[in-house]
Amino acid sequence: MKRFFALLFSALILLLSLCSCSGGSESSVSENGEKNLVSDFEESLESFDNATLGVIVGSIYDGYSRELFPNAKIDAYQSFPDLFQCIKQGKVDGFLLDTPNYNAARRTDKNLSYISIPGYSVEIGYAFGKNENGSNLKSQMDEFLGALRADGTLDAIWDEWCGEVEPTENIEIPDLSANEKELKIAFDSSRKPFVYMLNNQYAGFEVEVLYMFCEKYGYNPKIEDAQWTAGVAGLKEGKYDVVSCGIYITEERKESVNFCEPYMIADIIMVTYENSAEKAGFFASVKESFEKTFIREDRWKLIAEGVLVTLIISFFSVLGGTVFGFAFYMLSRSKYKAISQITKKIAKIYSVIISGTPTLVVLMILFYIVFGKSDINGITVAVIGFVLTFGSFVYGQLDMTVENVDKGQTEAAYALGYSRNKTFFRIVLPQALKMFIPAYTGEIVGLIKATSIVGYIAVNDLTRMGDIIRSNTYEAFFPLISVAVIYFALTWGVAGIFGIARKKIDPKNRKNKNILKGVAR
Amino acid sequence: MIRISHLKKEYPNATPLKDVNVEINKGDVISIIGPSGTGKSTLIRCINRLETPTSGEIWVDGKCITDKKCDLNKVRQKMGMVFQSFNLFNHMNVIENIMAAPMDLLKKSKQQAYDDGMKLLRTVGLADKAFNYPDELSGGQKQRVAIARTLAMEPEIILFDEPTSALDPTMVGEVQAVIKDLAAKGLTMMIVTHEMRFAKEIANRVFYMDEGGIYEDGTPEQIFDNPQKEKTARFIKRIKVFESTVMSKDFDFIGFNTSLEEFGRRSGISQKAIYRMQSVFEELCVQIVMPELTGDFVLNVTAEYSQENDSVCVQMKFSGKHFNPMESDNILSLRLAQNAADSIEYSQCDDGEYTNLITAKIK
Repeated sequence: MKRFFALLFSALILLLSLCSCSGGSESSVSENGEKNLVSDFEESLESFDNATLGVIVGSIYDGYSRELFPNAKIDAYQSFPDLFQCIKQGKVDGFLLDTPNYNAARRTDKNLSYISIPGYSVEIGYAFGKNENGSNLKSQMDEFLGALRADGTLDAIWDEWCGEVEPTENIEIPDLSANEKELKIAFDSSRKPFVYMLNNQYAGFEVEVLYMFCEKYGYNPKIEDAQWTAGVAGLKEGKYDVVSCGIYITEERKESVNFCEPYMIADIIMVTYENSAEKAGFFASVKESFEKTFIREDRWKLIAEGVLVTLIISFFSVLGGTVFGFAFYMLSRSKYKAISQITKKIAKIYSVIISGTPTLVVLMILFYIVFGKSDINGITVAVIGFVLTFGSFVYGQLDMTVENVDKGQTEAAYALGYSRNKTFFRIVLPQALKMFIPAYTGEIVGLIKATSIVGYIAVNDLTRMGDIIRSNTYEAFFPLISVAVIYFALTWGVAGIFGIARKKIDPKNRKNKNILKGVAR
Repeated sequence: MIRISHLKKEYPNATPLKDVNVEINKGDVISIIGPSGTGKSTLIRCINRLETPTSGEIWVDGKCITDKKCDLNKVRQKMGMVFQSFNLFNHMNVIENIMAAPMDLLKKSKQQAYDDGMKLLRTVGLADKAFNYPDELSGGQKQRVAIARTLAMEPEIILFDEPTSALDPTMVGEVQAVIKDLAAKGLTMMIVTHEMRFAKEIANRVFYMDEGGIYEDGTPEQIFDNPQKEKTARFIKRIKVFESTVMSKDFDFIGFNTSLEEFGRRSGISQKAIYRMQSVFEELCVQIVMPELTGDFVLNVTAEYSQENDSVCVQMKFSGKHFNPMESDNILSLRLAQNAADSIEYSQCDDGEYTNLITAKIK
């Protein structure tokens, strides 16, 4: 059976890899290489009249695309790396983007091309909280950016990170820990070229400027990595002072966020894709993709970190949830009727609420509302959230399996003179566990997979690390597959361990000589 | 040893025990009999407090166990109970089932518990099953282990709650034999049972329960052979005499056979004799008489067990024209019936609508 699944799994991978590679070669090579350089706006507009365009969900490009190409089919995606992947595979014919983002992607794939769209641009800046502290920081940042612009430093830094050449040197990060004033920064490291990971260190235009800012104004930066949506939501609660993610300044966002004056107004362009005539062989391209995803800049370390975070969250959630659920269950068995009845009632209401709410929503409520003002980090919040849901499961499952143990077992124990507690631990629980463990194993497996949502509350787990690598390499295949394989291995391992444990605790698998250890027969 | 006064047990929709007053002496072996739903099990479950009485007092060895301050666990250690459904601990093997309570509660050493446990297993004849698990045993074996488990706590009183009701007929004997051995050893016992012969043989005192209490309390001879009160007499007659009337050829044959078998077991008739009764009825009534009957008919069957000569007398009366089954053409059925019965006699009679009478004696 195991062998069969392994085989199935490898077949699946092979199939996926073939698809991802052949996807690119399907679209034919244009005979007229100049087509993409046509700058006549009217003409290019027509060529996209009935095309499929990609946009980011809820971004300004959604509106612009509909405005410019009313007849085009618009597909919504989650992130820029997704869009680059789709255009490569021909799923979309083009998409609107700002020039710095385009430049960063173009460095790794020379087949990308663009058509300029005059008159459309975006403003990019830092986001601060809509409060007194945020306003002060904004004025400081405006003053600072003004000075940098005046002496030409800003442009130099811009060219360094957002030009056509891939930067290879990291920023020298100054030691600012002696500074008294703390600046809570949320970096979204999936936002190349503004914020990203270079040699497993923060790099990018915004990172460099922000460190200079801290140095100049005497701040001690306290950094957390958060998906930009999580970061912006954290601004409101005062969890962060500044969010750095190359955010576009829009009127709507201004209502809830304090933006600095834009450090850059970038042109909007239409990104297109042309397959070059020479195509690397299948194995060569797989090899290159693998090298990019894992070897280059030691990116495997990011994945390892992600695995560790996923394991930590899973482990403590299972541990905490089990203790929590068990303690609650013991309370519900209290011999004092008042306690047991109240506990049962609470448990009933609680389980209805928890099982009726998506875990992601529970986590977000905890992160942004319950612990919004406190300094608790995302991992702790994630563990608390999963402890709450897992505890609910443990309680319910214990209640059910104990209920399923024949009442006669309890009566027989009482009749022999066993106390309530001894009866439960010696007679009932061991029999309930036999039914409990398979469901428990399944729930743990489910929990490990469910932890993949913690990216939403500023935790860099395995899934999120895969996204960060993807945003850096603009490759979808290896980051996604490796993340899938690792999850599979983790859950498979856990299921295996519990399978063995279940056999071990089955009383029938004991050896007679162990049962009667120390007894002369 | 046990004194019960004004014991009352009320459930939301029934009151099995209204007012029970009784004294039980050391060494008493008491059979509790009576129709179902008269609180036989409730009474002994109240005595070891698996059920909490609604009111009244129960004194065991001078201790009031209905008192809230009473340490029930200590009382129960001295008072064993054997259940209808055995209730062996499924996650322990046989010897562990027996060793558990002495080790956990009496703080016996493992070695001591094992030695004592094996001794008990030998007395119930199951020493070779020490390492089997409950689900590998037959019902009779399970119940014998359950008795050994109870004995391991060295109780002064043992309560049996229908110990053979869940057993195959073939296994009733082995369990009854073990219980009889215990009675001989002078333990105080209370046994709820539907096996009347067993109830009579083992007890020195019988409680007939009805009307929410102990309706009649007497020696086995008094209760079974010379009941003093009306309901007891009716109950004893009913369990001694089987009666059923058939009015259609499409009657419930299997149901009939089952109730005949139940009667046999209640009266302590051997399995062989039960089978013979069944085949006499089947061959004579179903195979020979019924095909001869036309239109509406009535066929009445009674069976009565006589302990003196250990035989059953089956009488079959039917309506319609006179017909002697001994002259039937169905030689095969007749032969089978004659083989099953000791003697078969036919006579014409004039008993209301019945005009024919067959009497069969079965040993």
